[in-house]
Amino acid sequence: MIALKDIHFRYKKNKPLFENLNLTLEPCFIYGLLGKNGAGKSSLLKHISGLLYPDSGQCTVFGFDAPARKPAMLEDIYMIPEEFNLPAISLSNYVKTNGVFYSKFSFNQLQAYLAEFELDENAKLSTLSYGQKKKFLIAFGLATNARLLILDEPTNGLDIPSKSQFRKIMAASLDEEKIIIVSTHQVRDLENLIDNVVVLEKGHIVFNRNMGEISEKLAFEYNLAGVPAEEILYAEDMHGRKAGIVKNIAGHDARVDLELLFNGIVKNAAGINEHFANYKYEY
Amino acid sequence: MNTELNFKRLGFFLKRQLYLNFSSMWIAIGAILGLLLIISALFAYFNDNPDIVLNLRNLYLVVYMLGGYIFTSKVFDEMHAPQKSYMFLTLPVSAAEKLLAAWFITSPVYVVVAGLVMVLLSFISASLAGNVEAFPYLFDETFFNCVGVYMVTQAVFFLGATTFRSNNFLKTVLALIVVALLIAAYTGLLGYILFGNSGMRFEEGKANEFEKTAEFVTNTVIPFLFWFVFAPFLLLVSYFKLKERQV
Repeated sequence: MIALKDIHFRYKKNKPLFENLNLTLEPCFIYGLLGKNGAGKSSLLKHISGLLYPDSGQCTVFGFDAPARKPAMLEDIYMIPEEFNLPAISLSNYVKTNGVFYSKFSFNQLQAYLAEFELDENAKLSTLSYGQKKKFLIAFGLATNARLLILDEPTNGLDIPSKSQFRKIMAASLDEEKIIIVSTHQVRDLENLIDNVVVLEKGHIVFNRNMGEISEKLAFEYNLAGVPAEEILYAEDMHGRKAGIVKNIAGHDARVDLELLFNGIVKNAAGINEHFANYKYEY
Repeated sequence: MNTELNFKRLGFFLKRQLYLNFSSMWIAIGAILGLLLIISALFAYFNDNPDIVLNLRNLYLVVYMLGGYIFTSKVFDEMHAPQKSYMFLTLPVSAAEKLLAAWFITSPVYVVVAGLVMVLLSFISASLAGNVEAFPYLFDETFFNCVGVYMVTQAVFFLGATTFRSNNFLKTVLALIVVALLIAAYTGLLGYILFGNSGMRFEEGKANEFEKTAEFVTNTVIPFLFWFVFAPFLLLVSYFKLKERQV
């Protein structure tokens, strides 16, 4: 489990980024971390992986204090940042020199992932495109069998077939011990992949719900004509019509439109959260 | 594999660091060796001075120490590169192991490799100068004293490598100059406050006591601090710098 308690953090000479931030992430889920530019997504991921230290508060990962960066904790964390620079060596040599640090590293799994992503393990990393390097890092990260996988903008640079391969591989790799955090602007890439939506806005967690809960309580309409105003939680113009988020009165599971949901939360987080709070379960 | 210092993991990390920097290290060694060979050949061929081999040895010692300081300053480059630092810092290796591996490469390994290069260069230059019998005398007390001084003083550049994010070598040199100026200003001011501009005066029979104290400080305390305390202290500070390092 990952627990951030009362985190306060500011970059030097800047105004505070996190004030009293609290977040708990449980195993067996894929979390989609959404937020606008500068909302603090990357900083939050860096706190979880021990790359940034909070000014106050506590960040624990599987019981370890994250800033201590103990090898036992780091063996269970693999982070793929948005921007990276890999050494000019072959994939196989990279694996030989770095895989040894992860006690659960599986060469067989790696080969299977590389085959899935159509990557040659004898190729030199310097000859690969950005998207191919990203696919290699995803394959390597999964093969470490770390319990926490952090992916910052993982689908940036991936072509369309690779994006669906990525979704397929990520969904298949999840087990009851793993936590996967995917931070992205490209919310459509996460559809049918994530279990929980966490939205960060100006350093605060403004929304943290399970997809099942969301689809049960919210409905996403692409034409709001005829929908009573009191049922509309958020509306926006879409191709000359009004689209938006409405209360799911019927309670039937609705398909979640992550882009609409994100826009709605950014504009009306209080209203949407209030709807969840007021929701009465019917047994 | 879960303790702060695990020798198996340290070995893996050493191997990783040597492997990742292998090509640039060989390029640097090759370039310096080539340059020194050319200089040695020219000096040995065109100079009749019988001390030329010894003078060349002194040049090698200067290059050896400067090269070591620059190499040490660059040992944590991966940690300071914005797009590589995450990988270095999240690698399951403790700060103590990262410190030990970096020190091992820049101190004992460098001393041995650069020492072998110097033996080779000295032999070639002695042969070119037609003075092969001078070769064994090149590795005298001065040579080994220089090696010892390097192993102590490189800790300063090691601390600079953990502290500064770019231009580590130049910033460390600048920091050394600033510290030297501050110490000179402090001692000068202290001397002026204690003795004014009238010179030192001691009471009858006390001068000998002061002389002995000064002798003890300069002959025993300062050498002890330099040879046994200075480098471990700087390495300890470097350890904390590594531990506290954020992206």
